[in-house]
Amino acid sequence: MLPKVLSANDQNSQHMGFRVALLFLLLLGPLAAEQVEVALFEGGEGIQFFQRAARLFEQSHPGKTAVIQADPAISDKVRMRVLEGRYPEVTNANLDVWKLMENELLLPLDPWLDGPSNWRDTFLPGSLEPFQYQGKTYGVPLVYVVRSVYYNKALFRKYGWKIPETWDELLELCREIKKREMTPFAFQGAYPYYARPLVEHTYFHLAGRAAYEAQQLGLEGSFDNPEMRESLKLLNTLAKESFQDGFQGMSHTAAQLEFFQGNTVMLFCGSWLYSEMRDNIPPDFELGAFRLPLPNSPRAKPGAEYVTSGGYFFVFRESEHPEAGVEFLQTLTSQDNAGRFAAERGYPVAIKGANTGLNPAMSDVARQLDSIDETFGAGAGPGLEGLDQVWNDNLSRLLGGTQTPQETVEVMEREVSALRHRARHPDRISTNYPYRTILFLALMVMGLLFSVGGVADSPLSGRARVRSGQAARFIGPALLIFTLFFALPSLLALGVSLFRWDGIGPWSFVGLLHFKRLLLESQVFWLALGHNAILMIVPAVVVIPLALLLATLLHQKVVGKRVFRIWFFFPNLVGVAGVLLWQQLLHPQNGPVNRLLVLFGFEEFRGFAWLSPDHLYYALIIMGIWSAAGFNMVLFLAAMQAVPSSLYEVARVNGATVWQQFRFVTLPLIRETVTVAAILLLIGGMKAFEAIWILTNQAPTSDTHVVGTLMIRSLFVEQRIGEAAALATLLFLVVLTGSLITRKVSMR
Amino acid sequence: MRTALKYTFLLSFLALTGGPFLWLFMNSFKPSRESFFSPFSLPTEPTVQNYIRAWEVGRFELYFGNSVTITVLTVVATLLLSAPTAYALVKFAFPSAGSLTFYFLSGLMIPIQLAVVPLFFEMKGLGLLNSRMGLGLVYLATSLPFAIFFLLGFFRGLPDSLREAAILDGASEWQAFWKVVFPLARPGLATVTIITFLGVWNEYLVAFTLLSGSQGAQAQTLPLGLANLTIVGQFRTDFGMVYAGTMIVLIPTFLVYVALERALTDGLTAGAEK
Repeated sequence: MLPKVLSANDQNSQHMGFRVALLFLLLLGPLAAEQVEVALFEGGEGIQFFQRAARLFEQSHPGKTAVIQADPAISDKVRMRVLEGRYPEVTNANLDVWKLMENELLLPLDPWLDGPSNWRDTFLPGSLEPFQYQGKTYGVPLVYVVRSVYYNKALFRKYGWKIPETWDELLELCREIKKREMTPFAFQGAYPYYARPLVEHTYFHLAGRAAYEAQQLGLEGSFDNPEMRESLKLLNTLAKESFQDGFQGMSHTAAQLEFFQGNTVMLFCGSWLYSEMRDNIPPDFELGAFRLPLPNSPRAKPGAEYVTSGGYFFVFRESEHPEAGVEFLQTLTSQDNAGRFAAERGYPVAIKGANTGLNPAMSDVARQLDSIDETFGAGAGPGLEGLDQVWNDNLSRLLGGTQTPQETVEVMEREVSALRHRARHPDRISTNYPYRTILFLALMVMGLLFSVGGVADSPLSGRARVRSGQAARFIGPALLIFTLFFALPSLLALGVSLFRWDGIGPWSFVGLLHFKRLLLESQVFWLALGHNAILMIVPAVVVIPLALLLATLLHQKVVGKRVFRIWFFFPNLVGVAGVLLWQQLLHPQNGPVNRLLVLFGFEEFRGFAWLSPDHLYYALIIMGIWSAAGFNMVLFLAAMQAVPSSLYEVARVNGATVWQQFRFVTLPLIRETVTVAAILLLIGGMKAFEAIWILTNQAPTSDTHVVGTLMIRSLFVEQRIGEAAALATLLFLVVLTGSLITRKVSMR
Repeated sequence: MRTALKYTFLLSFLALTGGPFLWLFMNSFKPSRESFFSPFSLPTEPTVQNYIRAWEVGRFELYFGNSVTITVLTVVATLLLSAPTAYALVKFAFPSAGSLTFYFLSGLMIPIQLAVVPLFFEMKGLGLLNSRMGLGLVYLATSLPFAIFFLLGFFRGLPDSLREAAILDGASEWQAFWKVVFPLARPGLATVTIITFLGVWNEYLVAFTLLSGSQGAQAQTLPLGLANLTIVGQFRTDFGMVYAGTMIVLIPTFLVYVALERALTDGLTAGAEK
């Protein structure tokens, strides 16, 4: 901003004095002002509220300023900044806080919490507990999240339905709703973990607090037990009978919109619902909310609620002005300021006395908050690494109908036991897949041996003799850049794969441990590799014949040839934009694809969830064909145009059919191009990343991962950097072998 | 009969490839709610509000400038570096020609994910993190393998006589290349141009890795902006803004493509013919 002001005044000499003064301010500014940088997650809430809090802070703290950096991908960005060693003062990003606390990167807030203003007492009971480590408190919340069943009040009134309190009553109500040809529940099935609070809530009330906490820690027997099976069974029954068709493909806002449009009667959600959706709630919509259903059990405690305080704020110890950061948080969480948030956004806050003005649309939730006398849900402690993925995978399988509740508890128990084993013995590998590993390595070695000599040098005879200095002048710059910024880092990655490093702590050499773990032990890796194989082979098998056919047709006389060529090719060029386009096209309820299919009489596609884990790969194959066919067609067309037409004349004179002309004239002469096309398609399938990453909302389950997404998850989300490098190395190995084999074959 | 069949097939494939874009275009001019309720109809009251919001909320003006700068510079540098390299690898006799060719082409088989982690720390060490310069250098390095791969085939088919004539006239190999061979390679260079353009214009992962730091916001590119816009749009249920943002990314792609399409096809054809 400021340099712009200066240059705008440059030509205006009468502003000289002003400019000098401004320059002074500029020079002094950085010295005088203590700037607090707030790295903020920006979802649907908008940042105006935080901007205003920043101005408030500046007014009450002269000489200090606050800058809000808001971003929907803030978590990834703050993780990168931790690696970079340049910390913002304050953040509410979703980070691996436990690791940061262990490495003393966060500032303990106790001196301020217990200071003269008695900051600690202004928070609702329990809300400071989640991020305490070795007796110190590191995180403070602004919002307060309670889970509820939201319902359409007008519909309940119209049909005289009563608020259900137990699971039995809820299931009964759903059956009544269905009798009236309505859909009971919309569900955010694209994120299977939206079902987790519901299961955990039921489990808490069935099995009691001790059992619930044991499950949070992943202790033995905490999944494979009758109470857990019953919890999953209730979810399963409800999902089968009452969730909207295609719910597995619905993102959170898409599902919530279905509810607000009156297409479903109820919805599970956290108390951010109104704040997130308020621009899309029809003005006459009457929003109601009641508690999650209780199971039939002597242990059920009606006053115990599943509560999490999302978006905790932390202060980085080594940022430039950590104390000013804390002062900003004190302003942010003051009763006045938090109260304004609750009133304006209809989002309950974790500050005592601040929810009195909660937006009236959320009055049912306000009442629910008042009657809480015991909370659970904000799991304390770092927990077991990998537990979230186990939940996510298994909820997805259960909701998709590929696992029964009984199978689910067994699988979860087994997977959690493996996690425990891994946490206890980080260097021990269980050999689950010896034969696959041997087969994989044997295939790679055979492939590499087979292709030895496949990249024979073209003969040097007939080339110009030059001094080596000449050649260096031609090749040197490209060699330097390619080596420095691509080849060298790639080689270094092979080295990194031999170490264990979490991005913060020290490096330790572990040899081939990551490779052994992935190949011998990891189920997810083998699933992911299988998915890559699908994306490598299926599109190639369809695309090459299709592209040859299209090229053959366009090689003849065709009206509008250029239009066809341009539009056939264009989908190949659109990258991320194309993926986002398909995300809209494949929307289960409103997407044009399903609507057209139903229009043509394919009733089974009504609400079909293309992007659910079970069907995602059909969608990816269609998208793969859509994007690759035209590109390959253009390659083939160009090659065909180079075939001398005299050859076709000879063929025709000799009575060759169209097919024979293609088979014996065209194909042999464009074989090299076909091979190039095949190489590019195979490499593309192995490198697949963006489409899966985006279509699974950046959280693939084990049933949708490819090696590329697995690697990015290890790198950015779990920050197991050595393992990420090992994954990348294996990916490289497959691509390399595949390419070499194909090249060799093409040279025969 | 056969003609009818041919056109039916071509037209249905045209509907498959072009239809989605037409749908997107139409819906980008509707308020979000209308596009939800009637996704197939023409907009009742066409509005450019979606575009304005994408431009303002998404800071697309900044991203647009960054993307254009980085893409143009990368494409030019790729052409200037890959052409002499490919030429020397094909036409000059020197002992390591074969292994150097293999070295460059191995880049085609390296997934960029492999290099991302060390690149981050390398760029940090060189002070190139969060800068357009740093991103451009990586794009250049990763564009070279395909450019060289493609031009190898192109130069292999080029007759030696022209170069030899220039040398006989007293030009050095260097001069002969730039004055005689390089201009002749225009069709091949056009192909490299468009393929490099597309790779860089749409690139997400490296940009994300290298521009996410403290000072990176000013250097961010369109794919990052679009991804952000989509997440924001999803949270706000503002699909109209997402459609418009997607269109803003697509339009330049389409224009550049249509402008270079003939050159691209000509380049492919020429490469095969000569």
